[in-house]
Parts: sequence; structure tokens; C-alpha cells
Amino acid sequence: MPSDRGLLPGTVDLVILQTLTEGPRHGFAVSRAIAQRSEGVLELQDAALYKALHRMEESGWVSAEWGISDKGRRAKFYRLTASGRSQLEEEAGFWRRYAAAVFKVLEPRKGGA
Amino acid sequence: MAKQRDQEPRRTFRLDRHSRDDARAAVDEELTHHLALLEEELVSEGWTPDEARREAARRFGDVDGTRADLTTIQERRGRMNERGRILEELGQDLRWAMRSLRHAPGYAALVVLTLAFGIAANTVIFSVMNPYLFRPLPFGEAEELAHIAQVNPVTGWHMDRFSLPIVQDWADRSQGLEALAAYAYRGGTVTGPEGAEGINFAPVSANLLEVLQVQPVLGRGFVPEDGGPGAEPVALLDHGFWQRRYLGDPGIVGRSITLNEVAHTVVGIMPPRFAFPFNRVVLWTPLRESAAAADRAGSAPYLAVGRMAPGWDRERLDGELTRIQSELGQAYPDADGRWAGVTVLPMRQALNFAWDVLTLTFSIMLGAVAFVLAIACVNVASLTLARASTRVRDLSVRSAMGASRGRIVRQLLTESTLLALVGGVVGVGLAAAAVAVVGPLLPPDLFRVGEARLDGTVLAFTVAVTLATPLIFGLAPALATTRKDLARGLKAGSKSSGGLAASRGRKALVTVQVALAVVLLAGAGLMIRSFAAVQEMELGFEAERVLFAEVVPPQAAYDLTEVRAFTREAMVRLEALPEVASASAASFIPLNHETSVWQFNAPERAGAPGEEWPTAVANRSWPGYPTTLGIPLLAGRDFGPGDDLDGPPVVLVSQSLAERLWTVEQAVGRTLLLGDPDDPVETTVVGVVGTVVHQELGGERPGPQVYRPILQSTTRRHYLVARTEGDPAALSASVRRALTALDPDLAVTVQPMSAVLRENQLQWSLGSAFLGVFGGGALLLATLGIYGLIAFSVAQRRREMGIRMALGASARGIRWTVVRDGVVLTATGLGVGLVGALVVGRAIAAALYGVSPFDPVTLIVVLVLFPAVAALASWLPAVRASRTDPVGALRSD
Repeated sequence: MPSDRGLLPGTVDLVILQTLTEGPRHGFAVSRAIAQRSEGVLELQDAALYKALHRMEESGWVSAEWGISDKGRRAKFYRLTASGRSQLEEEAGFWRRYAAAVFKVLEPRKGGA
Repeated sequence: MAKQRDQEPRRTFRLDRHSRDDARAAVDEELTHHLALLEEELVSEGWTPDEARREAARRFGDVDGTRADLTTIQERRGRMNERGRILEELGQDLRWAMRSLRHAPGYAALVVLTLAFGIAANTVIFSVMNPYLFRPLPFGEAEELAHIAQVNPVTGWHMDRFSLPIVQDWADRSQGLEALAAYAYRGGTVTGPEGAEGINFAPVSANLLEVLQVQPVLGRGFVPEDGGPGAEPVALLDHGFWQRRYLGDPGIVGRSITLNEVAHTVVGIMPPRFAFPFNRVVLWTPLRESAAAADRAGSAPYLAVGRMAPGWDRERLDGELTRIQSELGQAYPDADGRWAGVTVLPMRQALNFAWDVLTLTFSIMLGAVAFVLAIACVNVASLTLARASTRVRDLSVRSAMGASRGRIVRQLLTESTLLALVGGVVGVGLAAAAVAVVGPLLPPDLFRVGEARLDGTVLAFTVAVTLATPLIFGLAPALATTRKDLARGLKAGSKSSGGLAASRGRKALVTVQVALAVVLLAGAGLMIRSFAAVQEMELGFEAERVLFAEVVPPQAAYDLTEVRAFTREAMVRLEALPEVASASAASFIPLNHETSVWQFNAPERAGAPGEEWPTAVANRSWPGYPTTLGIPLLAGRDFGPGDDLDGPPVVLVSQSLAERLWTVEQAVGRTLLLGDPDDPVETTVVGVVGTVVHQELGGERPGPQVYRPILQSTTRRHYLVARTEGDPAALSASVRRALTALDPDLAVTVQPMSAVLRENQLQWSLGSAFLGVFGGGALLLATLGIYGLIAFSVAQRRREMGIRMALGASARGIRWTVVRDGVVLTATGLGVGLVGALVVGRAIAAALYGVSPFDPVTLIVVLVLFPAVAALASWLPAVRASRTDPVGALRSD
């Protein structure tokens, strides 16, 4: 079992929205996709995942529909909306710049002043 | 790629779960689904089912807490969505309505104009009623105010004039009255550098403003020291009077103005809307009489208005004052004992002396405009139904695309409401123009609060009326159109069946419309016939070419001898004018709303109890009065200059009085007892004159009347009257000049008798003008309704007409068929309407004069008018039908 490494604050939405770029998914599929993509490093508790999904549904970043899953069960599917997509791009850009800056700081200095 | 497609939902459901239970169920289902998948995964990894369930719940986290949080979010979303959906649908409906109306500009214009007419009529009448009946009185807590009156046991009339000691006793003895104020009003003259001006002013108790709970806007109100004998004379001014005469100069407060030759210091200016006891009173002075010194049984010029103590109402106060009055009646049998109980009236009713006529007239007018609006709505409903029947296909498409019936009805209602709102705006514009015309025609003597104008109350009323109309004219057609299975409307050929249903509906609507119009026109007819009868009525005097002038010689400047000398001199000056045939004077002018009543009897019946003595309308006149007014002298002689205080008491009696006691021929020389039955004046009848209409035009036949010589009285106040050769109005200026030449400080009000007559006829002239306009409008709308329906049905029956023509029907025959249909169409409406007209005629009987509510002339005119109008309205479609080309009609469709 990987130790509990929660997501940094502010990144939950980002990660969920990213998994939805591949198409509409229900909550369980989102949870599995995050675990898969991060190879188990990023772990999001299901309670937090659903809270985030419903909050984003309210904000209009994702829309939801009831559908039949590949296992033949009724499930609530989430889909990325246009405003969710632009939110994702904005957030992703920020995190990329942030991560790059952190890496730059962490890199060993080459030569002195 | 394949995997991703698998995750696409295969079928979608509408997600509009918004109720509390639905939100909870959806969240439950979602979480259960998640946990089930997790469990299955764990079981496949080798967990036992029990352990898997526990582990799944553990990994999920706080299941119950999450469920609660998610439910809250979903409920909130549901509420927001519902609101958004309604707004969005409203927007859609509005866009749809505007688009579809753009394609039917004729329909839209007709509907807007029809509704505008109906709404304008209602708005005008309501704005006219508003200042009289509804606008808040310009007094604080007006519902606590009580106006006090008594009933005269002899005449049965309300009597509301009291002597000061009586008012004082009520104030002292009553628990129910917090405070009681006495007031009177009379004419006076204000002089000064601004010129002499005749005004009405009111001497009032110093506590009046306290009773009314009103404060001056400038300066101060009266204080107790202002009243009573010997106090420094002070005055409060009306706001409008101050603006007009003193140009709104605030410096007037503290300055002195001259009222009736006496200097009064202005202490304050009343608020703009303040009016008491009516709008033409522009100045208030404190009462200078003291209750202690006043004669209880003597002059009783005062009215009484009080404020009720907390917890008291009019009924309770009525009881208390009646009890007090009977105590007073025992204490002072000669004064208070002559009067029966006490009546407490609400302010608005008490201040408006024509309250009964006013409320009756307004009820009739409001009823009439309600009819007009109803007819307008029915007309529009008929148009809407016709339009809807041509849209069955459009509506069917909407229905097929999933719109519910409710949604389609809502769409149609949105269209109707849009039209009604535009109609309302146009109607308010029309009403504003009409009120500007009608406003100045309103009688100035009736108590009202402010002017007739479109204010917030009126607009609120108009908005309510406007929003009610689409429910009447739009809802029924919308429901009727959507009642049929709209899916069938898609099939070809259903156009005509929808048309048939609409045709039946429209027939019913035209019937209603004709019935309403018949009632309204019959009402208008009765009112116009009343007006005609009033104009032709025998007044007993000649109202044309008579002019009268009110002159009030101030007490301070003229003693009684000087007043008589002034009147004598005024006669000479007036008769010297070439256009004046004769001049005289009298205390009261017929129809001028002033009446004095005396009791009378023949000497042989002097022993009869006081309450059995008959009453006569009493006047005092100057020699030459019957000639000047054109009242015929039937026997004996008129008063002469010798019938003065030195001569024996003489009297002129009317024919009606002479015939009651004797005959006209026997009356002259008889003795007539006049006045208080306990102490009558013994007078000798010197002449008999014709009976005149003195009190009101609409009342019963005038009863007994007596005239006593002014010269045998001490009265100071009277009207000068003059008979002119030409148009009396043209003579006003020279009469005024002749009188002011005698004393430039005298205020003179000159009026032609015809103006008084017109004012008395106002009830009928305004009534017939209003009802005539509304009745005409109703007739026009009904004609349009009949025309529309016949034209529509002719168009629908084009095929049938074609076949008839092909089978040899003549053009004449076709025309006859169509016109007959039109006339038959009105028959039911006419029948129902005539019954309605009889009912309404009875209801307005009190407002009619000289015409029965079942007046055959009016009913026959209406009975002939409507079929004629129907024939006329059907003529054009009939001609069109008779020109149908049989071949073309059979080929089309």
C-alpha cells in the first residue's frame, strides 16, 4: 500500500479536470484514472473526489448526465464543459510555470557570480 | 479508442432532479455505484465480500458526511436551475411572441388599440374618482375623525349646524371624543395692494389643527389665546392662495392683511394639499365668539368635527352622543329638545355635500368602463381565437417536438401579455390626454384631495387591469386551441376542422360582446334621454338672460341702513345699464345649493302639534324679484317699497303652497303663520307666484315655497339679480364695473344663471357624454366583432359558396344568406343584452330623470340598431362571398 500522499491544495480540481479531457467518466473511473496516470503516487480520497466533482458541477466546469456504464449499470457521468476546459488550461499553465520555477531552484548552481 | 467509446454513456436521461428527495436519491445512487465497483475490485483481488465492503467504506472516507454534503450541493443546484429554466423559457417565449407578432402586424395593432381604448377608459375614470374617493385625506389618522350631524325630525334632513354652546357641551360631556372643534365657512373680501378679492374663509376653533393633526408648513398654527373675544385677529393662509396672491413670499408670515376691513396678522401657511372644509376655502381665522356668551337657541352656524379617543369607533360614539343629546334635550327643551338623535359621519362623506350623487355617478361610470373593457377583451379574444386557428399547424409542430400543453399555453399567454402591456402603455398615454381635458371640467365645490391626475395609485390600478386582461382574452383561446390533440393538427386537411371549432367559440364571444354592448348602449340611451329631459324641464323661472352677483358689504363698514341704501343704489346703477331690463335681489338663488326651510300653517290649524306643521322652502326677496327672474305672478301683487319694517308683515306664496291650503284665487289676503310653531309670525299673503325648482333638478316635484320681503328683515346678505336683453355672460364685466364703482373695496362675484343651471345638469351632461363615448366605442367594437366573424366564416366556406353558385344560386341569394347569418348571430346577444339592460336600468334608476328604466324609446332604438349594424357589418363579406368564382373555389384546397 502506498503511504497516504494527499494532493497539494489547489491541484485536486486540476487533476480531475485533466482526466475528463479524455471523455465523460463516472466517479469511480475518474478515481481509477488518477491512480493509473500517476502510477499510484497521487492518491485522492474518494470522499474528496466526489465533493470536488459536485462542486465543479455547481460551478459549471463539468456537466453530469445519467447513463449506462460499460458494465450495464446506471451511473452518473461527468463531462468537461467549455468553461471547465478553460479553467483547466489556466490552472495547468500556472502549475507548469510553478513546477518549472521550483525545479530551477532545486537545480545545482552552475558556476558562481 | 475502443475503451474510451465504451465509457460514453449509451443513453442519456434528462437531469432535472431538483426536489429534495430526488437530490438525495441521486446522490445515494451515485455513491452506491462507486462503492459497489470498489467492492467488486477488492473481491477480485481476493477479499471476502464482508471484508471488501468494510474496506471499500474505509477507503472511501466519510460516506455519510459526503452524502450529506453532496445532497446539499445538489439541492442548491436544483433551485438555481429551476429559476434559470423559468427565466430562460420566459426569454424564449418572449422572443417567440415578438417574432410571431411581427408576422401579424394587423392583428397586433388591432389588439393593442382595442385594449388601449378599454384600459384608457378605466384609467380616466379611476383618476377622476381617485381624489374624491381614494386619495388619503390631508389630515393625520383621518379614520379617527368624526363629523357630527343631527336629523331634523320635521324635514328628515341631516342638519349639521350647531350653536357654540351645544358643541361645547358635547366636548365637555363626551368620553369618546378626544377633542372637538367647531367651524363655519363664509364668503369674505380680502383687500390690499394686490386688489380686492372675494374669497371663502373659515372661522375655526383654535384647536382645529390639533383635531385634524395638521401642521402649517410655514409659521405656526392657532393657539388657545388666538380665539375668543378681544383676541388679536390672526389668519392662516392656503398654500395655493399664498402662491397666487402673495407670489409665495415667505415674508407674509407676521405681516398684516385685510379681511372684511379688519387687519389680520398672518401667522402661518398651510401645506399644499390641505383642504378644509372644501377646496375653495383659502383662509382660516380663529373663532372669536365665546361659548359662554353665545345664544344656545339662536344662531347655529357651526359644524363640528372631532377626533375619537383610542378604542372608540363611530358607532359607539354615535350611541354616546345620542345619550348626551337626550340629556341636553331635557336640560334645554327649547333649544336642544327640538332635535332628535346624533349621527356620526366619516370625514370624506361629511365634507362632500354631494356624496350620494357622487358615489352613484362614479359607480355608474366605473360599471360602464368595466363593460367597455370586457367588450374589448371579448373582441380581442375573438381575434386571438381566429388567429390561433390559423396556427394549429405551428402549434402541432411544437407539441410534436416535446412541448407540453402547459408550455404552449404559456407561450400563447406570453404573447397576449406582451400585447396587453403595449396596450397598457398606449392606454396610459390616451388616458393622460383625456384627463388633461376632463380634469378642469370637474365641479370645484366638491371636496377632493388634489387634482385628478395619473399618480402612483392610478398607475398601480392600470397595471393591475392591464395584467388581468390577458387572462380574460388570452387564456380561454389558448386553452381552446390546445385542447384538441395537437398531433392531429399535423395531418393535412385538419385546418378547416380547427377553424370550425374556433368559429363556434367566436360565435359565443360575439354573442357576449353584443349582449354587453346592448347593456352599455341602453344605459347611455337612458342617460342621454335623462339629460334631454332635464334640459327641457319646466323650472318655473327663465334661466336664460339672468345674471346674479354676490356682494357682501363688510359689517365693519356698513350698518343695516347703509346696506339697504347700497342695494337700492345698486339697483339704480344696474337698471341704468342699457342691456339690463330689470334688477332685483334675493337671499337665495334657485339651484345655487342654499336652502332655508320654514314651517307654516293656516291660522285655523295653528293648534296642530309642531311636528305636524308642513315645511316650505323660504326665501327673502326685493321688490321686482318675480319679474326679474321670470316667475309668473298668478294673483295679487309683488312686494313694494312700502313693505318694510314699518309695514305689516307680508308674504308671497307659491302656487303649490296656495293650493295646499286654499286655491290660488282665494289665497290673496289670507293670513299665513310662519316659522316656529310655538311662536309663529302672522303674515298676510299679498300675492301668489309660480312654483320654481329651487333645490335640485333630479328631485321630486317642488313643494310649498314662501317669500318674505328683504326690507322686512335684518338680513345683510343677498344676491343682486338682473334680467338682460342680450347674452348675460357678455354683461358680466359692465355689471361688475357698475357695482365696484359704488365701493372699490367690494369683492363682486358675477355669474350667469345659465352657469348655475349647467353645473346642476353636470351629473347628466357628464354622464351622457361619458356613456355616449363608451357606448359608441362598444358599438364600434361589437361591429368589428361581427364583421370579423362573418368575414372569417365566409372565407372558411368559400368552397360551399362555390358549390352553391355552381348549382345556380344567385349572387343576390348568397348575399342574403350571409347578411341573414350576421343578423341571426346578434339575436341571442340582443336578447340577453335586453334582459341585462332592464336589470342595469333598475340599478341606475336613481341617476335617471324623467325617463323610466324601461324606457321604450331607448329599448326600441337599441332593438333596431343592433340588427341594422349587424347587417351593415355583414354586407362587405356578403358582397365578397357573392363574387366567389365557383371554378376557382372548387379547384383550390
